[in-house]
Amino acid sequence: MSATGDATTTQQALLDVRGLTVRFGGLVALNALDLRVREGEIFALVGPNGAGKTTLLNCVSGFVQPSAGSLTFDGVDVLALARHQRAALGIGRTFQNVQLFGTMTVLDNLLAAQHAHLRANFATSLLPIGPAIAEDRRARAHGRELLELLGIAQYANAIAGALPFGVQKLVGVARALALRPRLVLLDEPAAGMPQTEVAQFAGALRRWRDELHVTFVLIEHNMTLVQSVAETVSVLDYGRKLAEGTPAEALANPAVLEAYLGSAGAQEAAHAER
Amino acid sequence: MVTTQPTSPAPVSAAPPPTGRAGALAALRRVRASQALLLALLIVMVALPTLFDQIFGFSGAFQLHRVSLIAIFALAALAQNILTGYAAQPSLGNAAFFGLGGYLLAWLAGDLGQPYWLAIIVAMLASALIGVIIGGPALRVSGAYLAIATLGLVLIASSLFDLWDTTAGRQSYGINNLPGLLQDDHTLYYLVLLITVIVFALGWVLLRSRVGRAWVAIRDSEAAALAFGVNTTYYKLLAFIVSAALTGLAGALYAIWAQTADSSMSSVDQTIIFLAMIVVGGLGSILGSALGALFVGFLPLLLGQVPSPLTVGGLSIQVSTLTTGIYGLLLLLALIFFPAGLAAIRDHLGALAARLTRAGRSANTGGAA
Repeated sequence: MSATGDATTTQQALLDVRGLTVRFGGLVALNALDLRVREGEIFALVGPNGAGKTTLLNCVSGFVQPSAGSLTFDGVDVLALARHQRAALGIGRTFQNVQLFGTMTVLDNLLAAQHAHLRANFATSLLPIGPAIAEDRRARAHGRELLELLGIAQYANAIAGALPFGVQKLVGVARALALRPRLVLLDEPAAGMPQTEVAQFAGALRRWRDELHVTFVLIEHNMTLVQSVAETVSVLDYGRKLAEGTPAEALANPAVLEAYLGSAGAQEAAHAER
Repeated sequence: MVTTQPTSPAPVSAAPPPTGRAGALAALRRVRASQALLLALLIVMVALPTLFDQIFGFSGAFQLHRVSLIAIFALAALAQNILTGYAAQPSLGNAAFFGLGGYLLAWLAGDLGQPYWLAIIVAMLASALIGVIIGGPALRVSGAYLAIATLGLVLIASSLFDLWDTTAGRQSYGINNLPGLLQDDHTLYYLVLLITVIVFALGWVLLRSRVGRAWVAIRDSEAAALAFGVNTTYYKLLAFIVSAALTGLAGALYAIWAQTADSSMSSVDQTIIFLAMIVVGGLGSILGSALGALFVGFLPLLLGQVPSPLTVGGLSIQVSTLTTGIYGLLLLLALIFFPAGLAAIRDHLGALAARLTRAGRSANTGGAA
């Protein structure tokens, strides 16, 4: 996988994070972080709780304002855009606590997710005929296709908030994909997922990437998923990048072991390896 | 779960899903039921003048006049519901626009002698304009702060209208040149009904559109709404403006109905009535807006049946003075016990019927065993 490193330097990154710093009061959540995510890859961001993973996602969404650094998406300065303008770039995301539009049906969630691509305004939305209705019909068809692809078509007309948590998480992914994104940020998609389903989910992620031409950034604690699906893994701790590379490289890094297991644990692991 | 390969088991450890067909059918039935109910309501309302003349004879016109008021209130309820039930902005300021609509109509059509249709339109547009001016800064705060700020707006409006009345040396802004057609209870009723039905139809389409979804998205998760490209500032303001315009329209119609505008149109009592209508009727429900207006409109009739003054022990109570208190109480009770309001009664009845049939069936099988 040495090609990975070469490609990073030669090919322009889809998501390019440079020197990103976020402070909450005295706490430094992100400390001059550099990341490059290439188009078409599945990129995993791992690290202990509080390492700054979700903070990075929230910088991309605009819920957190970094104090220094830059963040570009396909060359566009993301930080210069208002929060609601970022979806139109083609950045979809999920939330750790799902944040579905709970009173809507699943299909309406997917329609709402296409907001940035629909053109209907207040005036055209008053009419029961015309362009607004036509584009809604197309958006609905697109939503149904995605529900089929994710295998949750049977829930299309169910009220999203009443569904079991596992299904809600999938609806969250479907909603992110409904945006017709180039990049999808998944915040702990495997949390609470039975271990038996993780391998399937990994396969599904790869298939969605290939069929929908989407780049995934994955925040994940589940190492089975990370190791089976990620092409690049970046390990964060205290807002810094500890290591980066293929899953095998990154996770074997002594600094990573220390961060995860403590220094004693790291020594033990080293002994065990010997 | 996430695979399209037919060989894989469906591992979503879920309760039996509302399967595609059954779910769709249930949704269809819900829509059908709502539409059927609305259609029935419409037929009754069109036939109402004739019915009332039959039933009440001489006092039919008077009774019809009350029903016109309910239709006007339904407009105001829809306006409050769009803002509070859909876009989730707990604004208490609509009574200010209700008074504004009424006073503008009285001034334009009454004093300046402009045609009534023009006065209605101007009252509506002016309310929308003031809605833009007030809504921008008001929506910078949210939740309880917005409620308090907008309640202040009502008090300010009320004082200004009072001041205007005092300066002009009058008790309330009477309208003396109402054309005969608008004085006739039948034509007034049909005019108000027509406007209300059109507004409800437009509202029905709007709330199912991209705009309506944006409002509900803000209500359900503002963070997700932003992340999916909803300009929340714009859509909150849009809800505020639409609500102001509709409330202004309702206020103008009310002034025609009452043949006067009065500073009590912008009062805390009026605010409570608007809130009671949407909470009792159903937050975030178009049908609920109409039901809430019906309920609030008929409550005084019910209270009229109570002997007044009501003597409890040594206390003698004038029942009509309790109306606002009763709305407040209903508001409280509805929030606690029926958060989905009257519009959900259908579901309650459905659940009850299902329970009864189940109970009946198990009783039957029990008997057979």
